[in-house]
Amino acid sequence: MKIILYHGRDTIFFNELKVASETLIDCEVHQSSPEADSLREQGFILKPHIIFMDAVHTKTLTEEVRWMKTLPLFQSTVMGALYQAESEVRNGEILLVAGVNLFHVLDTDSESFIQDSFQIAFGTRRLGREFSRAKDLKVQFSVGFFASLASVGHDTFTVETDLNLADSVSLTLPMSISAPMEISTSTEGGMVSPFLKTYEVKYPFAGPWETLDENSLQPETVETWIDLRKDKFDPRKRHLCLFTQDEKLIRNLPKKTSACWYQIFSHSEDAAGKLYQSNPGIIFFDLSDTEGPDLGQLAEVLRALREIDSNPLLVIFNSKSDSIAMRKIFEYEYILSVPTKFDVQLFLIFEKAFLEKNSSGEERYFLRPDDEERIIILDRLVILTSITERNLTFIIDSEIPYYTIARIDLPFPAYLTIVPSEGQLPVNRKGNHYSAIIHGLTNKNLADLRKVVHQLSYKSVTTLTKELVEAMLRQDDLPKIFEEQSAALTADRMPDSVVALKRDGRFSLKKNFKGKSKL
Amino acid sequence: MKNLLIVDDESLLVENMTFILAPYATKVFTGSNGKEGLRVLETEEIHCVVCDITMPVMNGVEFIKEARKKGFEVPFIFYSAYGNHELMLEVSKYGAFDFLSKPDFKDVEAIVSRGLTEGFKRKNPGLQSENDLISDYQLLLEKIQTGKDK
Repeated sequence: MKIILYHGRDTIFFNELKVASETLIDCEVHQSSPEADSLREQGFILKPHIIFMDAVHTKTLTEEVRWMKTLPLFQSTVMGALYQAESEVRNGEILLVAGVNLFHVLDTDSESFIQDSFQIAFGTRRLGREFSRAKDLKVQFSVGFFASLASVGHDTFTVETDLNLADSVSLTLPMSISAPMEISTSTEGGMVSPFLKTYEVKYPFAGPWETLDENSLQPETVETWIDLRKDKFDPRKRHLCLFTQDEKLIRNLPKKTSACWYQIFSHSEDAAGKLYQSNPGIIFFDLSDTEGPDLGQLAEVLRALREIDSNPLLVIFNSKSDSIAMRKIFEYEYILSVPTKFDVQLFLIFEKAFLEKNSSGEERYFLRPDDEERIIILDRLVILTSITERNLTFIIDSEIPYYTIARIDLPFPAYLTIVPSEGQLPVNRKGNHYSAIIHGLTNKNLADLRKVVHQLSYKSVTTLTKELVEAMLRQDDLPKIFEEQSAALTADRMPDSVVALKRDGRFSLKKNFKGKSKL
Repeated sequence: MKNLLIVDDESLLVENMTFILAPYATKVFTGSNGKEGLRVLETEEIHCVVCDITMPVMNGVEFIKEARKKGFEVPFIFYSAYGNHELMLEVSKYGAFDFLSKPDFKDVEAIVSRGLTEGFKRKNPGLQSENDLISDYQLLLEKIQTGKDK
């Protein structure tokens, strides 16, 4: 059974959703009220494949979405945020970082948005209108991939992203520093948000031999920045891990802001890389009689802990064997066996005792889930190869996991969700060819985008610029602008894939890139 | 009253263990395999079992499995399995209390004494408390913190 939940109040959208869902076999559509119902609770009750939500109260929703998307139960749930106005969309970007997959402005084409969501959730072929496509393009433009500044320390900070980063990354930090920065460690999984990777990055402090100027970063700058916003950081400083498949148990965890970040795993395989970054103080293991974490998985968790040289306290609920026996079996000193089933009250007592003993510790500050300064954009140059008003395809040097979210400012401010293409996309030697859903556009932008698509179908364009887009909308004489573009564009500024394309222009038909997916 | 059951197919070992542990228990019962051990559990009030793993007729794994099936929640202390991770894991599924190393049986008196106390508590549930658990937990936290401070 396909379950769709609309957590909102727009009757028109809900009716359109019901009509669209009739194209699906075995589908139920539910509606809940943001005023009366909790999104989290509705999620546990219905276990929907898609959740659409009115995003009016972005700040409240952000923590709900973040928490849900870090749970195994909701990892594959497609989430779409609905806005009344364009201005709200830009302010709602923090929801994309929290785990929302698509944006929609309510007075625009809902049918296409809903079909896009079905495509992501169920892999169904897009129904509805076919859009005109400008094809065989080789247009260079910039795409900004969303990442998250999870925490800051005094020497390093952590960034969550879906992208594979090299040894260094160029970033702009909220303390107004923009420079290449050295990566010290990388681990699988997001530290607190549903990203695929976490990187620990060193601040590019000016060395003692360097001449200081206004662009130099000094430790005092970071200290001052941290000091000034101490009240704005999240009060949670430590991680607690819980291994369980018991949904009832997860549902009964504290609903208000807890004292620690909870990392919940259903299987030891999920945990291996993530434990290194989070360095949990306690791991709670809910031993299962039937399905769920068992002694074998407990052994794997301990193996992972030894590899990362970490020794948290391991509390094992529903354990038939005594603590001392378990310590001898697993050759690990810090095990406490609890013979009874997982108990939330006991869990809270343990959490409180842990925090009292660990009130001081590593100085690391986490940004709140709804703090817009979390948002980091990783800009990448890509080659646009085709575009419609709902979809575009592009070539990029690196590998991008499916369902990664990005932002574009040209031709108009909009958002992209990378999706598997419906057909084969040709590739060349150097680049990976991707398809992306365009979303978050207003009616005006849509109308203008149609004009640009039409123009691109007939004009040869190599780079998208603001001036060019404006000229296209005015339907100016474009050749003069193209001449200026060609002169400005030199090979050493282009990604390798572009150079390869421009040099030989040949494509070889290969199977479409079957990359990683974050859903 | 705290009664002990020792189960092993090596009669000399049983004799030695009985001699060592007699001061700590009210009565000591013995058996040469798991089947005999089960019979004793069914007829006598036992507060702790010390048991070998490899025995003829019924080995230690089968013994604890059958004992739990019949509702005997008495603490089981195993030896000879120590160091054999697979066997230790196997018996832990049914609730091992502790393990003794063979042949030196280091700390056997302390371990069995603890087992008898635990067995007595299990038969008198009012004596167990959540506070014991929380104390153990806090002790472990202290231990970790001390380890970090070094």
